[in-house]
Amino acid sequence: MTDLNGSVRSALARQRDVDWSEQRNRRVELALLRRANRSVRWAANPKSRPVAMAMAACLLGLLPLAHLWHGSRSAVHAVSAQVTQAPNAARASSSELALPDGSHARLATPASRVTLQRHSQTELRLSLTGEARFEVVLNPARRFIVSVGQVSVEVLGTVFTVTERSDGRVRVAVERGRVGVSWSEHQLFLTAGSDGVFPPLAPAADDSAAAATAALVARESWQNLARAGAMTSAWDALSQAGAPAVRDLPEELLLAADVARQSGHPGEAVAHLNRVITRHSADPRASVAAFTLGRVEGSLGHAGRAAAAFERCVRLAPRGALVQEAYARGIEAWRSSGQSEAASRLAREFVSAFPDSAQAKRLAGAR
Amino acid sequence: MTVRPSRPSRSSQLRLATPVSSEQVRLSQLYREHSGFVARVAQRLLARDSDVDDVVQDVFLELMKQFRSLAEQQNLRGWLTTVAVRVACKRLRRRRLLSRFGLGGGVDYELLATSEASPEERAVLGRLYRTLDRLPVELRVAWSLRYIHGERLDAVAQHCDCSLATAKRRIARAAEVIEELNHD
Repeated sequence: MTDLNGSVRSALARQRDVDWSEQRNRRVELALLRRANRSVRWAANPKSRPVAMAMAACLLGLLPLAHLWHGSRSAVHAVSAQVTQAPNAARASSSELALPDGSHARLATPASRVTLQRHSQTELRLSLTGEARFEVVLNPARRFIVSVGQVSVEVLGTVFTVTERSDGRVRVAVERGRVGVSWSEHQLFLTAGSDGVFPPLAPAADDSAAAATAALVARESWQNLARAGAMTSAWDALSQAGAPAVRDLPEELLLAADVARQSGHPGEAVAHLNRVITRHSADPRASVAAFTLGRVEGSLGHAGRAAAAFERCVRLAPRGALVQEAYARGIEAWRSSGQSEAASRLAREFVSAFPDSAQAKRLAGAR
Repeated sequence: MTVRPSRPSRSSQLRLATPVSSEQVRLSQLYREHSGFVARVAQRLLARDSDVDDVVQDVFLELMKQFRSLAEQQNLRGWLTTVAVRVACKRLRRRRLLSRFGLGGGVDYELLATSEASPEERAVLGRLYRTLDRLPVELRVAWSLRYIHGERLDAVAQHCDCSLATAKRRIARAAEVIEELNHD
């Protein structure tokens, strides 16, 4: 049995493992339960009824377990007690509220109040006065929104606390998951472990120190998230912070490009990569930026721009590690964009620069 | 209208009224213990994050169906791997079929690399998975189990439901094709 080639082994050692977060685990678990329930309905015919009944009992039993897995064991018991004790109470005698979708709210003070404004398949909307901690059952098909005055908090499966402050503003603290907070025409996202008071107080126009502090905090935030591999959260933080959060440094621009690409916004990576290539062309990382730009443009369907970027990679580092790959991709991209003359020119250049490579021999044979 | 905490929906009444059996408790424990493992197997075989959730669901649905007959199963992870391999093979065959019609392509495998990977390692990883995409499914899965998931040869044979000699032949054939890419 042949052993694994060194370069393949080294590349495999750098392969990212699956990001199996607690939140994703729960989302899959809920989808699994829904599919299992559908299987039970499908199986419910006379011949297979005993099997179907056994499965239904099993699966219905699994639903409370899903709650237990969500860490809400005490909440389920509290709700169960309320069901039997006070079925028509307008407000809970206890501070624990069971919401119609299986989520829970714990009121922090006797004066706190949660009011149901809308409940449908696609939306559960509540209004809050006072303070409450919400534990929300994940359901991607349904929006869960809590409004306090002009501030709305939108949730996707999470635990968070909303507090109405005496100055009319609202404090939102997220323990797990992610929430979107909206006010006036603004929206931002808070991730686990973060909190904020909304609407935020804007710094005075001439308060440059406050603005610089805000930019520094934002920069630290998105970079730390990116280095921890939380690209979606890093993208949210970067989007909120805007342009000042990315300084004109190759490493920062490349990291911002990685955040954009890996969070599903490849088009937003283009500007960062172009800045590395044009403003830091002497930096050894410029050729990597050009190569990455070629891949991004290719994935966006811009074959001509991709070809130009790969060719730029070749020019920036004609003896670099990526040059053969850049030639190959550049030739292919010129062909895809219908510019066969440019493709042939680059192919000739490649054969001349690397006459002994296997790809050059193939190209020479094909001509 | 004010929320009435003591009046849950019909489904939640059912939930609260349904006793929990030891079998259900065991199933929930198994999901918690092994879902991450199955997700890793799926990712290593399919190399596409978007397919992982569906494979985990398919594998645990199978576990629910066969739970009673598996009561005495000593090597549950082995059983889960075999089911994951079967599910992954189906997905890979469907993917190959779609690719013949020009559908389902365009995956940037270089994004599979960690941020510490060098550009060369990213390029090798991309080439490797593009080569694996062209291999027959049986060869790809046997090679992936051996070298990406790190299984022993006899375990590869068991998961692929073939003899040890066949497993070795499949891995060797896949390795030859992959080796060619290193000479390019």
